[in-house]
Parts: sequence; C-alpha cells; structure tokens
Amino acid sequence: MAGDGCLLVMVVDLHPQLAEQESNVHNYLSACISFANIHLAANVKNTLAVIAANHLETRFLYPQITGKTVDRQKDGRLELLCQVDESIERELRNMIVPDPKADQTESLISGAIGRGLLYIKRQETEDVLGKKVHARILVVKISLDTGSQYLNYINTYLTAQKISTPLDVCVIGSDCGLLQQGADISGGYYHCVQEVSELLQCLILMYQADVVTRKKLNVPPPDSVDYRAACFCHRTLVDMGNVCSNCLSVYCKAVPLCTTCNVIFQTDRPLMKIVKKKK
Amino acid sequence: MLEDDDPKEYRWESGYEKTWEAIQEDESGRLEPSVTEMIQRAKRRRLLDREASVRLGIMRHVYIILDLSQAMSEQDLKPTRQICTLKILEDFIQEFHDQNPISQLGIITTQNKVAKRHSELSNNPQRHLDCIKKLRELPARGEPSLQNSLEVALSSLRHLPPHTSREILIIFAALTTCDPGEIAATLQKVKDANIRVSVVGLAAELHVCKEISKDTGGSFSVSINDLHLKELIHEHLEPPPASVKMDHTLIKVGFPHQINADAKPALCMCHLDDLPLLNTRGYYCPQCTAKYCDLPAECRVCGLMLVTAPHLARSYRHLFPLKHFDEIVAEEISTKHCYGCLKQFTGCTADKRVYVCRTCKQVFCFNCDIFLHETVHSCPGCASNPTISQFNSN
Repeated sequence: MAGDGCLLVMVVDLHPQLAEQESNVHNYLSACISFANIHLAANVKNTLAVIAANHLETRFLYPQITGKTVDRQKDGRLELLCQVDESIERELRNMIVPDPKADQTESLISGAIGRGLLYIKRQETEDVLGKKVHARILVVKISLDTGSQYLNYINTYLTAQKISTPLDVCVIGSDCGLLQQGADISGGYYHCVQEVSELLQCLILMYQADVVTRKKLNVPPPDSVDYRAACFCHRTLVDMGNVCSNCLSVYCKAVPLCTTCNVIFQTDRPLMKIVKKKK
Repeated sequence: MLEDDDPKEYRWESGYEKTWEAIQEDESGRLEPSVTEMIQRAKRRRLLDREASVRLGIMRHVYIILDLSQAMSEQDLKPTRQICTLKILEDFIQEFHDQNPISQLGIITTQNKVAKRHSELSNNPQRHLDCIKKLRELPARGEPSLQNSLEVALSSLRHLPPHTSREILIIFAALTTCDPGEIAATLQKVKDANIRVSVVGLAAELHVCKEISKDTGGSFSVSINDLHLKELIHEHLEPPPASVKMDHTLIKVGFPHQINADAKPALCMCHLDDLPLLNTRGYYCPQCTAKYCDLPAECRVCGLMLVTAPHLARSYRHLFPLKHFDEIVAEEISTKHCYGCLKQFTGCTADKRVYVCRTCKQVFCFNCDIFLHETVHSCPGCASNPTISQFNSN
C-alpha cells in the first residue's frame, strides 16, 4: 500500500435506461457507493470525488458545493463515510428525473470526465507541500453512445495521458470501443460486465488497487484495441483511407472535393505519351 | 546616479528597467496580490497572442539548423550556450512530436565552414534525442556557414510533395558567416521551393538573418536570456499559417490493427538496423502486414503512412480550437464557484477575474481557464450541455 493517499474520481452514468428493471437501480447505486466507501476506508489519506452524468447534465455528487462540515457521528462508523452517503443521496434526489423519451440520447460522460480532470488539477495546485497527487478516474457506464462526441472524448484522453491519470473503465452490458481506446491511451484498465449484479465484485477485484500498487501486480495485457478511424462520409471504420492534407478528414474513397474544408484536390494527371509515327 | 529623463537613451547608458518599481503595496501593506496579478497577466498574454481562423499547415517537415561554431562556447547562457540550447532542444523535440504526430523533424549542424546533416527527416523522436546526446560531446569550433547549411536543407526539402509545409528553424549564435558563393542565389532557390525560414538569434540581430526570414515569411527574434530562448523556440511548436502556394491532396493512410492476444511472434520492421525485436505485441500494416512496435511510422516495405485515429485527433486541436472565454469581474455574476473545480470565489486578488464560456455560459476560475486552453482544448460545460453537444457533433 502506498504511503500517500490516492484521489479517486468516480464518474457514474445515470441514464434513465437504467430504470428499466426495478432491481437494477438499487444494485447499481449501492455497488458504486460501497466501492467509494471501500476506497475511503482503505487508507486514511485517500480522497474521493463522485460525478454523475445523465443525458441532461453532469453534477458533482460529492464533494458538495457548499462545503458543509461533518455532522456528529450517528451510526458508529467513520464520519466521512456517513457524510459521503448523505451528500450523494441528497444530490441524487435533485438529479434523477424520469424521462420516457431518453432512449436515443447518450449520457454526457465526456463532460463529466472533463470536470473530473479540472478537479484533479486543482488538488495538485492547492497542495501546500507541492507533493504529486496520485489520482485516477473510474468510469462506470451503462448506456450506449452515439459517437457524436468523439472529439470531446479524445481531448479528455490526451489530457489524462499528459497529467498521468489512468482512466479505468467498467462497462455494463455491451462493449464500448471509445472508452476502450481511452483506457488504453491513458494506461488504465477496461472491463465489460454482463449484469448489474456482478458490478460490485468486478469493481473490488479489478479496480481497488491504486496506481503505485498496480505496477507490482501481474496483470494480463489488454486485448486488441481497435484504433481505426471512421470515414466522414459513411461513419464506417476503415483500414486504409484517404486523408485531406488541410483538415485531416478521412474518406474511404478518392473524392475530388473535401466536404469539411472545401479545397479542391490536385490529382496527378498521367503524362501524355508521345506517339511515334511509323513511316 | 543617472535619472532616465530622456526616454530615447540606450540601455547601456542608464535606462535600466526598474522592475522593483512595478510591484506595488496594496492597502494592507501586502505584496502578494500585486505579484499574483503580474503572473496572471503574463500567462494570459501568451494565450491571447494566437490568431484563429487561419488556414494552417498541419503536415510539417522541419529542419533545425544548429550553429556549433566558436561562438557557442560562450558562457552568457549557463553553463555554455551549446549545452543550454541542446537541453532546450530536447524538450522541444518531445513536445513537437507530441503535438504534431504526423510531422517530421531533421537536424543539421554547421561548424568549421561546413554543414553536416546529423539526423534525417523522420517522425521517430528517439532517433533525434540520441543525436542530440551525441552533439553534446562535439566541441564547438570554427565559423558557421549559412549558405552551406541552407543548401543541405534545400537538397532534401525540395523533393517533398507540395501539400506539406516546409520549414527551417535556424539557431544562430555567431556574428559572422563564411559562405562559398552568393547567398542571394541560395535565398532565391529557397523562396522558389516555398520554404519558410525562421531564425532565433542568441547574440545580436544580423541583417542577413533578418532578410532571410522576412523574405520567406518566417519570424526572426533574438533571445535575452535562457527563459526567453525557451519561449522563442517553443513558439515553433504551433503549426504556421499555410502559404498560398500550397497544394492540397488526398494522402493515402493506413490504420493498423493492434493484436496482442493469439498473435504469432514476428520480427518488427522498425528496428531492422540494430536488433529486431521478436515479440507478439505490435501493429500490422493493412497493406503488407509488416509489423511495427510504435506508431506513427512510415511502412518501409510498401511506403504507406501508418497512424492511429488518436494521432490524427491530436492535430484537430489546431483545426477546431477552443474559443477564448470572456473575462468578467467576479462580483457581477451570481454563481460563486468554478464549474470545473468547485473552487469558491473569495474576494482575494487571484479570484477577482473569472472567465465565462460564450457558448454554454459556465463560469471558470483562472487556473481552469489556463488549463482548458493550453492542455484540454474542449470545454466541459459545452460537453455537459445536451443541446450544444448534439449540435456540435461532426
């Protein structure tokens, strides 16, 4: 165990499609809160931040904006855990809103990761002794993404790589290639869970270790990550494509005009062959 | 003690910058607010200097011409000019390949009246870093030759396809140059080949350097101290505005697969010169299935350029930059905390000015504003707003 504490930023996906089954919501939220408690109890210097994202907004569930001080010890456990639970519950009530039309939308996870990165950066600058803050981000996702926010996601991954913050991802249901790329770029783990009931076990098993301890664990290398780009005309992944030299947009076949930046491409015309006249 | 009542005095006569007078005490007698304000203003100035909405040359081929003449062993930059410049160049090379993943860099040195190419144009930063390490041991002697070094750079930049942006960065410390012929002829050839030459001087302003950079559309500056030198060299990390004569084409690019599990061990193509690595991890070229350890690379077998989608996305920050935030005094708005880091806005000087994004109207503190514009390049407020993020989808 590291002597210094670790800052864990949890990004929790609260898309309304979670509420399709009654038991899902309860299991999901209690798994996330239990994991947060385990993190805080593991080392006295550990700190926590929880950000929730649904299809309408992102919100900090903990720490609270008003920064109230801790209440008196009520139920015999660590006061900080009680404070975390109460804060999360209070903010969740303000946030969860039933919306039947939410099927086609995606959760705003890239915005939540962005806010988490800013919070981590603030902890680094405010540390009085100037010590390096070990931080990591854990993303728990249940909804599908539509691929419309590619640029926002990539910017957050590159920033996480730059400030050495691994981005761990746990996806419930189906695979998400975009977050898989993010985990690979920033040096975190990616895992896909089939059911909500398996979530807590997976979180404790794979994501409990902090950054320093991970280097000593013998983890199998990740599977192949698909880094292909999607072409701008059909949105399909291509192996080989043509790239505009001005705006770097990807096309699957040769086009005479770039649709994003409107430049006309110079094509190489073959040289005219001089026909020798036979006498 | 001389008073500077005549504003047009030369610096060595008496006109010292009285920097201690710039710091004022506030009402309670503390100096810290004044110092924080100066630091903040300096940081903001760097951000605002960049223009927007100009067509940029993203695929860059840059040659760095380093002067290793007698003048580089002067000790006005500690420990010597040579070691200081090489250290700054190491950082520059790392950052350059970080921010411009599809661009290429090469290194040429000039000493003893000849110019020598030490490192070919390539996009592998390790090769350049090894070359810089070797240059530390090379003693600086002789006189530099501007014309010879420009000819060496010209010989390889001339044959590049026209859609690339060709640049030369000259770091010059001597006050002389020893050329075999007429430098105007070389300058004409450089202009015809559409190359942009920029010069960073270490000693003084030379007329010939100023002419070269002005004629080709580059920048010319002379450094005052080592921090200033670092700033001047790092200015060239950003892609320059594209010249009008640049053609645009479609470039054929491959996006390789990365296979880790179930792969057969194979030799990699990137280390053929020394010891090829036999392992299972690597990227396979989609056209000829040659293996490479690291991307971006140019396939040695079939000539296809290999990149991954995140490498292309790294260049998107120059094409879709984050717009500047509006600066507002903290008392005028209702929200009292920063949207990004939850910092409360107290009345102290560091929090007096806050920054508002024009699209999503969220408020950010000063540190978040700098971090967003320098590193992140996308606003989390806009990403957290469902209408704006759907509208911006590309």
